[in-house]
Amino acid sequence: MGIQKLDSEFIQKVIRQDRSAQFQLFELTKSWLFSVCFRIVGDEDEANDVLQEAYVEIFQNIRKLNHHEALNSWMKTITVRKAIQQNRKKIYFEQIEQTEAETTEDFDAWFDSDMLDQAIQSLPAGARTVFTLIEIEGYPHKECSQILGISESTSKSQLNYSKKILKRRITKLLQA
Amino acid sequence: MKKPNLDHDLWSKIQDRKNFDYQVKMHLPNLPKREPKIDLWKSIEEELDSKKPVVIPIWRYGLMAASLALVLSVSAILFFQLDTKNSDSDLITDVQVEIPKSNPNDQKSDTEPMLPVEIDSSPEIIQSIEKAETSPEITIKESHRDRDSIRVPEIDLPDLEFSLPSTLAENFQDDLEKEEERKTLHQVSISWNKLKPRMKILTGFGKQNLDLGNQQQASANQSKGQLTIEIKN
Repeated sequence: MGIQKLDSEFIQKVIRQDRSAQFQLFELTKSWLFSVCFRIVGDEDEANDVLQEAYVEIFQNIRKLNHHEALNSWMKTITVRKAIQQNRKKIYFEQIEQTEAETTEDFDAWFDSDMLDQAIQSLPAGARTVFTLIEIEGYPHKECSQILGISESTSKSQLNYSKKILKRRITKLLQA
Repeated sequence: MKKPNLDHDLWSKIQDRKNFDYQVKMHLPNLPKREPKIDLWKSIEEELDSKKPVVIPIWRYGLMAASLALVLSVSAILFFQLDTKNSDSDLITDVQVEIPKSNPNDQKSDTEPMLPVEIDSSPEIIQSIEKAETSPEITIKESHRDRDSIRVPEIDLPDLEFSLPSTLAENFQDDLEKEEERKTLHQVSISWNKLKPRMKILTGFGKQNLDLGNQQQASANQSKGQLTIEIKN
């Protein structure tokens, strides 16, 4: 998930603090970054505040970006870190036994993206953050653990735990 | 009419797609996208305008601070050096003092020019002088009070006056006239130190058996510093 590749001339304008270029970049990326914020924070108002801080930091520090090709991932990382920082108090990781993490539940149902989104929002904050970073945003376990300050094994167990909960939630939604 | 050949693995493929992980991967790109609030850009713009960076190189602040520190330190060093020089410099005054000779057999001429004198008031020197004296003309009275540091009141600089009272001079003259003693010249140096307020004065001008009585033997103008009189034989 990301935005189309931006040409270097446009990025140079943004670096030069050209306000119209900045607005253009904002319009291209606001939905994508807000979704990331919202999935981590879980609240719209807080997500707006986080996104505002993220864009201010992006525009102030964009001249420090050496490789313009990495603009997308760089913006995403800034936004993710701001969101985690905002939601630090709510993010907790439940103790999961190793056996429970390895067992898989049978799932035999069809679901759509809306149902999946609904189920994701019902996850606990820690599990939801891990699922968002790894499954949705494509971070590896190593980087995810560094961002969250946890171990790789915790990251893996939390991902399995989140999938188990998603299966239960989607099954309940389908039965409802 | 020919019947189409069904893929026997089709059902398994369908069942595979029903897999949870497969469905998640399939639906993730299509998750609903949310939009931020409408006036978010306005808020961002206001914050960017308020946080305009001040373009002042940091190295300039360091340079200014370093130069200021250098100027202050050099001026402080010069100030204290000048101050200590002025205060530490001893004022050496050439004072010609005519002292009766301790040795009557001294053949020195009476017409010898007077030399600057230094009077050392240390007890050892006083004792040595007492031992070397053969004539009773010279009496050096040591005052216990003078051994201790005498803090004298202040005088106005740079004038340094050291004068013997007239009564003492008269006594010396009387002694010379009466007993016809030969005069001895002692090298006496008088120094005055501003930072050394202790003052040692020995009243040693006179004969050994000189009856000084209650008359004032010597006087010195009071100064801030220490008046040092050294006698070098």
